Amino acid sequence: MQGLVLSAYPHLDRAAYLLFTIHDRVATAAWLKGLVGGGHVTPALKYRGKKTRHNVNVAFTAAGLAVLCGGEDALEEFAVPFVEGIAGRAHRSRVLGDTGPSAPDRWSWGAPQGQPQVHLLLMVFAEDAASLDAAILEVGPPKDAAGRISAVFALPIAIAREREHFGFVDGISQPILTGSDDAERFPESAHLTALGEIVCGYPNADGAVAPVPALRRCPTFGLNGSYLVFRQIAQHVAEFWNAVYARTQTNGHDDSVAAEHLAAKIVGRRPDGTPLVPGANRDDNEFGFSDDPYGQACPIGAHIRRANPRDGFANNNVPAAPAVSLNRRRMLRRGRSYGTRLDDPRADDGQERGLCFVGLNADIERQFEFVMQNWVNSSAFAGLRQERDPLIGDRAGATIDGAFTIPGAHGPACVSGLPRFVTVKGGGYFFLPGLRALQCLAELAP
Amino acid sequence: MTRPARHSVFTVITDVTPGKETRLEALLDAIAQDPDALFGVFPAVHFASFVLFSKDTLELPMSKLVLECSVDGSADDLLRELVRLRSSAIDPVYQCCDGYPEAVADGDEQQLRQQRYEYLRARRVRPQLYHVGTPYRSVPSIQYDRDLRSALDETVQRMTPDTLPGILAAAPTAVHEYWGWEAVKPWVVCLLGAVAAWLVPSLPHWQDVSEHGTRPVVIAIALAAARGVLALGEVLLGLAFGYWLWSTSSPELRAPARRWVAGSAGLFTATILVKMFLPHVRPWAAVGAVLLAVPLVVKAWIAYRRRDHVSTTAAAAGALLPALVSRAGEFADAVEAVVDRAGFWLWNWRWFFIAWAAAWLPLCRFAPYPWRLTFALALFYGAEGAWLTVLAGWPTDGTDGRLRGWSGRAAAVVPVAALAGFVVVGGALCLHSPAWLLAFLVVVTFFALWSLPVPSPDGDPFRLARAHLATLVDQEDRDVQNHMAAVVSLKRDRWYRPVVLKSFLWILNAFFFRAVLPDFYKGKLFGILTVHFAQWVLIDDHNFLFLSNYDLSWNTYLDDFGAELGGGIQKIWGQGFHNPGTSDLGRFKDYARTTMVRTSVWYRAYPGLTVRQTWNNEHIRQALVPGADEGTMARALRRFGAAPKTLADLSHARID
Repeated sequence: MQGLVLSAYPHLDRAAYLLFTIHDRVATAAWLKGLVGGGHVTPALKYRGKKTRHNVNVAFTAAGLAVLCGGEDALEEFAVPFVEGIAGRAHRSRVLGDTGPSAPDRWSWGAPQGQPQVHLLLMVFAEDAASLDAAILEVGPPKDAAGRISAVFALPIAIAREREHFGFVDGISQPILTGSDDAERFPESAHLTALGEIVCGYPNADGAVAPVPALRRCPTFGLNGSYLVFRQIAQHVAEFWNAVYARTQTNGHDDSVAAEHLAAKIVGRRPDGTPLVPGANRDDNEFGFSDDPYGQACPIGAHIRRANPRDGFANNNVPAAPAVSLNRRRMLRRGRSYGTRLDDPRADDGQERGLCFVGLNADIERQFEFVMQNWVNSSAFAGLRQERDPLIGDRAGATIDGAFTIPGAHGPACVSGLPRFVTVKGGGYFFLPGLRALQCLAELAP
Repeated sequence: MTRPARHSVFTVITDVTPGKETRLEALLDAIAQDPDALFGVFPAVHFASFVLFSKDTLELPMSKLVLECSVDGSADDLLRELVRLRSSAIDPVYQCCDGYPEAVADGDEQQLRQQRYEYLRARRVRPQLYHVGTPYRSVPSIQYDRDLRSALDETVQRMTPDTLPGILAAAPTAVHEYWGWEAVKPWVVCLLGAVAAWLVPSLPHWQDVSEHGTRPVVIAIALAAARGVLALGEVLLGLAFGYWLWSTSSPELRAPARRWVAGSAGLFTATILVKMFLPHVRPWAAVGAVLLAVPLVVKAWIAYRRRDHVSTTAAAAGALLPALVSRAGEFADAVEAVVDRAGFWLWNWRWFFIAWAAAWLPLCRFAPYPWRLTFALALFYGAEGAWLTVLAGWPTDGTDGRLRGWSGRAAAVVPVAALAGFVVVGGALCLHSPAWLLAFLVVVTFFALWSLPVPSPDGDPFRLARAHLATLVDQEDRDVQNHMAAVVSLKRDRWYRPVVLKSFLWILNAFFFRAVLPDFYKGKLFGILTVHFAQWVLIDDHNFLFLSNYDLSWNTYLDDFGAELGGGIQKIWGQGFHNPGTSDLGRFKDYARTTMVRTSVWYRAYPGLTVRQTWNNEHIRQALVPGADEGTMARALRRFGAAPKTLADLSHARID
């Protein structure tokens, strides 16, 4: 199991996400062999409790695996979305909201046509800029083996200070995997998630072990592996804050308190991370939405409520099932922000900045795609009507006008015309194999 | 539009002339460019679709063209109008089908039209089972509510009890008539029930025993013992039921009403006991007993509110009896004929329950003892069994282990006791008449067949082709509504499979989908509020069609079903080839995908609207009447933010 599954490496300030296309199968396999054999790929066990100077993890697309297998493997055992690719079908783009400016043919990398095929994702984490560069030089594949398509450098943790570019604390809610140290510390947590929901080859929420994807010559290839969703999402910070300010003006003047209030309603948390549910404080993450069934505190359509409805669909009359059997849509999020901070959040400087979304799950269709389709981008989410996620939801469709309903004790308020504050710039479905699988993969080439 | 609508859900299934499939596909694709042009002129059509089931890819003797319709009013009216108004569109389509009447030179236009109408009518197939997610709602009323809701969006922020009349003044007067019907409907039904209960003759009492001095002593003792056991069972049953209601209810629901219901169930059984063993109690006690049957209705209602589909092993013991009374198809036809004439009040199948009871009770009165008693008990068990099925859900295959803990076991005691009672009563009946013995055997056989292990053996693999999946998926999720068309080939290993499936679907349809669900389940298909219209149609003895107009994604749809009634759908789908069972939902989904067929043409009268939104909009209209008080308005205004989790939860969800 690669280390990224168990940690986002918060002690390593810098990160780079490097995308490659394989030119030479044999040379790439040789490089991979060196990478694995040399102990450069950070394993989950080695990382545990240790403060390393740099960490490296590597993942492959279906096309990449096919190339490394010499095209002899049809990847029949892998999940359909992975094989088809994130941009492989109009239907998939539709449900993920990759339409209009976010459509795959406008991506800066990873488009199905007209751009080099993405084969490999190398994630390098290091203490500082110098050691990051050194690490990239040390572990990156040689130029003749694989060509670099794109490199996304993360915002240093020291600058980001847990906040994404819109200014909100991010990455608070993570599933707690059964068997992990955290699971022992918080056995009652609502975030307890079966290991098999994230890592292939372990019991999932139903207690069943789904068959692990196999390569013809590596029958246990999928064991300890995980599907990794990588998306480069540009955030339009100035547009967001200007839109929020424009809708909260009083008598023609900006009202920063009201603006922040509206922004918090859109996200569902205050910028410092405090959820808007009644009685929750900043550090509380075991809250549910059952105390706020009508969304009068945290709107039904708020971003955090859509992305993870928690107990929002629970039936009052039926005793809740244990968290571990309910958390079947959760993902581990291992992303970081990229680009520079915008000094004045209301003045656009023309630079691209955003989030490198890295989601780990065992079933792309049931987890990542489900969340995107049925919660984030659903125009009928929880009984809402003609509105999608106010922050990141797609705005395609004749009847979608960027509306966002904010229920209140004296009737709802509705803001409309909210543009989409993010644009997808690239993405791919990868597989993050276990260490032994990497070794097997490296030895496939002659 | 002011009258509650009666829906017709049907298909027209025609054989495609061999060799004309390609042409037909092209024609349908042309229609698919603008389905509104074909169906938009009919204000009665909720959903309509054309699906071509090709014999090349499916195990069908001939390719079939299926026109699926879910409409307000009668099916015949729609077909007549279709031929009259849209012949230019449908003629080319049906000319690709076997036997469609051709135009002849100098022919009588009127006569041709009549022939074509009769052609379609002859091929109209009524589904064995169908579901309506928007009962009583006509297309215009749904659209009206949608538009009203949109209009109110503008004014919602300044809506108060004072301003409401002004805001609503702009609404058309039609809506006020609508309110009238909504308000009166439940009361009239209750009144009918009360009158029926009052009119029924008394149940037999113990005095009649003396009339039968000639009976062999052994049988008399055996019968008496059986009755004693039954009576004891009744008491236990009442107690167990009461305990079950109590132990499984959430604390805030333990209202006095609930205690009253549990108590009245006990009272009901006590009344029967008194009747049996105290000779001088006059028939009033029996009338009281019948009136007390009303709590069973309340029980069902509460169980519905709890949405607790406890898996049970035995279910509709008595629910089967009417199936023996009449053959399914003829009966449905007869009912439809009456309904067409009698209009709204009769179409609701509740009258069927009342008629059923009314038919049994005279039997009790005029039949000689001890048939009377056994009839009466059979009636009681029938009602009990029917309601228990509503309460407890359909029997599952037991693989999901839903019978958990004490409450689960307590819940199982009730239907098991009812079933045991039925068996004893049935046995007693069999002692008297070979005809009853036969009928009883038929009932038992049906149950036995239903409990057959339905999943396929392992040697029956299937493969989901990725190309097939891609064609299906590419037409999905263009909107919140989706369409699913599937054909399932029945296993041919047992001759009785189609018979079993037919009887199962028919009974499910008659008793639950028509009689109970529209009012108790409020558009939910066993707890799932995302299906507008769905139908199961047996097209011959080897294939059934499943056509569904549902909300949200296909995966959610299947997930919901797998979670809510895995065992129930397995009773239907498990009759098909290759079915892997629902225990592994991923595999079942793959299987379901293999049975699916691309929808050629799909028309929706209200795209973008989910079932849940139609209910939400309806509740908003109902609540926002001139003179609404603060509380009602507050509840209505909450619905603008979004509907609460489930609509039924509204009244007891925490209100802050």
